[in-house]
Amino acid sequence: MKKNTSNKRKIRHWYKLDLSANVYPTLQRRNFSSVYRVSVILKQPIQHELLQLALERTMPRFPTFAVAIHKGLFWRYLERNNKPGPFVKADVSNACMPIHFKAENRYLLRVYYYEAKLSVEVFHSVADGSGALTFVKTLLAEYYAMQGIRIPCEQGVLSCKEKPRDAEIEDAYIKYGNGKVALKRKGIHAYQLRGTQEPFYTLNIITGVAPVEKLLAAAKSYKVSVGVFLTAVLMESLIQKQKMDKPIRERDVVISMPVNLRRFFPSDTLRNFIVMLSPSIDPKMGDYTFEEIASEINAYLAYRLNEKYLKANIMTNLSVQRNPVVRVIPLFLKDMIVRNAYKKVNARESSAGITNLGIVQVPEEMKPLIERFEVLMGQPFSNRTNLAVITYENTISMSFSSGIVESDVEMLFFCSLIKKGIPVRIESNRKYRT
Amino acid sequence: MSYCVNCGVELHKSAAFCPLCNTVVINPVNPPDTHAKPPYPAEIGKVENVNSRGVALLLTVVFVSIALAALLLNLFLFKEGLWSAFVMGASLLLWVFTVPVLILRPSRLLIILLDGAVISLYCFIIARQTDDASWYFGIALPIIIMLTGFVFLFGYVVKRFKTSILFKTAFIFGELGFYTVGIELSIRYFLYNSFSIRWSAVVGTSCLIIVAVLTTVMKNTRLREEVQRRLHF
Repeated sequence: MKKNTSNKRKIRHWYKLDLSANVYPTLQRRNFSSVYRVSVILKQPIQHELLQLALERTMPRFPTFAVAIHKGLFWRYLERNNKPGPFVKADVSNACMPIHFKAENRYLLRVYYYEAKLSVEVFHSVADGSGALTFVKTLLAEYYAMQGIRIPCEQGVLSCKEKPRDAEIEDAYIKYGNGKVALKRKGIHAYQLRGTQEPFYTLNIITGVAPVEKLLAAAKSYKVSVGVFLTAVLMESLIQKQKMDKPIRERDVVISMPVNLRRFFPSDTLRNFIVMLSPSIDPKMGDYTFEEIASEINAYLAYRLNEKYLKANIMTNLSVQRNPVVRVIPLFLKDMIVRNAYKKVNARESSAGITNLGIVQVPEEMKPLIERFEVLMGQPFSNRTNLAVITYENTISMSFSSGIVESDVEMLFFCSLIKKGIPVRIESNRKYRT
Repeated sequence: MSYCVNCGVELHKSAAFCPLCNTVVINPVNPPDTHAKPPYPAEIGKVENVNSRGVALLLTVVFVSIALAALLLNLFLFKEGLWSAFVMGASLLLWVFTVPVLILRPSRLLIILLDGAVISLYCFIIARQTDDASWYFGIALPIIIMLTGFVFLFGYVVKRFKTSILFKTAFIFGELGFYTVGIELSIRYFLYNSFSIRWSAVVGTSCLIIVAVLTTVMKNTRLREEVQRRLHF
C-alpha cells in the first residue's frame, strides 16, 4: 500500500516554469524566437522513418520535454502533452522560427532532418542547451539502436528503458536559490548593431568550422581559455564595427553570455539552469588591443565564476519572482510589464550574445558515426547577431544567427580568426546580395 | 572547394559567393559545384496557423443562449413590446464582430463586408422598433454603406498592391475627404431634399491638399528620401 502511494506521487502532470523559463513565453513573438537548435551532423544520411521511431521511444524518457505550455491566472505552466507527436520533418532554411504554442499539437520541440544532419529545436522554457544536448545524444543512441548498433548509456546518453529520475526534472534554481543577497541590476545602454531587417521568416546563418587544436594553441598564446578567446574575438569585432559606424558617442560594447550552473552547483536537471553574465568594454577609455580585451574578459570571469557570486546572481531574478506583490499580479499584466521592460531595458543591455556549450562527450561507440555538432540561437528582437559555439572532438562549430542583411560582425570575427592563424571553413544559408 | 579571395575563409564546395563579404567565387580550376547539396536547405518553413475553434464555439454558445433567453422571456413573461429584438440583434452583431475573425483569419476583406452588413441589419432592427423609420434609409444606410465601401477599398488596395506608408496615408486622407462630402450630401438630402455641400467642402479641400502634398512627396525621390531621413523612428 505504502509503495503504491509513493509511486503515484511520482507521476507529475504539470510543472511550474523555472526561473529562466518564465520570461521566454512572454517574449515569444513573430519577430522574437526563444527557440534554439542543437544539430548533429552524422557521417551517413538520416533515415527519417527510423528517426521518428527513435523519437517516439525517447520522448517518454524526457517528461519535461513532452509538454505543452498553458496559461494560469498568475503564471504559465507546463503540462504533460499526450497528443501525438512531435513528428520528424524535413529541415527548413529559417531555423528556429517562433513556436506557436497551440500549433504542432502544442509541442515545444521540433525535430528536423536534412541529408546527414539531425536538428532538434527546443523552446527555451523547456530546457537549456545542456539539457537539449542530453536529449539529442539519447535520441541518437536510440536511432542507432534501431539500426542494431548498441550504444552504452554513458557520457550523457540516458537509457530509455529506465524511468525518469526526480533529479532530472527538478527546478535547480529553487534548490540553490537560498542566498541572502541579490545583485543589483546595472542599467546600461550598450552599443546596438544597426542593419537592414530581413523579411520575416528569414534567419541568416553563418557557421564557421575550425580545428580545435589550432584554436587552443592561439588561445594559449594569450593565456586564456578557448571560450574567453572567442568572446574576446567577438568583442573586438563589435568594437571595430562600432568604430566603422562612426557614432557621435561610443557606447559600451557588452556581450551577454549564459553560464551553465551545473559546473558550480551539482545538479542533474534537464531543465534550465543558467545565469547570464555580461562582460563589457568601454571603448571611450581608449583603443584596446586584443591582449587587453582578452585579459579584461578573463579577469571579469575569474572574479565572477564562483559559487557565491553566482548564487547572488540567481537571487536577483528569484527575489523578483518570490515577491508577493509580483506573484499576485495577473498574468496578462505581468506580460505587458515584462515585454515593455525587456524591449526598453534588457534588449539594450547587450550588443551581442555568445553561448558556448563546451566540449560534447559521447560514448566511444558513437564517435566514428558523428562528424560534428552545431548550435544555433533564435531570432532576437533587435538587429543583433548571436554566436553559438560547440566543440566535438577536434572540430569547433561557431554559428552566427541574425535577422539582418549585413554580415559585418561575422566577417570581422572570422577574418580575425584567420589572421590569428586559425583556418575557418564557412557554411551559410545566406542569399547573394545584389 | 575554394577560398574567398577577399577574406580568406574556406568555402563550401557549392558556394558561388562568400557568405561573409559577398565576393563572387571565380575559380577556373575548381568552379563551384552547382549540383552539390548546399549545407542548409532552401525551403522556408511556416508556423502553422491555429484556428481558435474552441473560443469561437464558446462565444457562439454564449451569444445564442443570451438571444434565446431574451426571446423566451419576451414571448412568455415580459410581453410589452418586442424588446428582445434589440438583444438578439446585439448578440448577432457581437457574434459577427468576434467569431469570423477567429475562424476566417486570412480573408479580412470578407469580414469587413460582413461587419458592414450586420451593422446595417442592427440599425434596421432599431428602425423597425421606432415610429419613424425614414432616417434609416435616408441617413444611416448610406453612411454605413459608404464607410464599409471605403474601408473595404482600403483593405483591398493594401492587400492587392505593395503600398508604402505614404501611399496609405494619402489614400486614407483621400477617402476621408470623399466620406465627409458623402455624409453631408446624405444629411442635406434627408433634411432639405437638396444636393449641396457647405462644411464638408472645407474638410474635403483640406484632405485633397494633404493628398496632393503626399503625392508630390511620393513622386519626388529626393524629397521622399529627405522626409524619410527627417522622420525616421
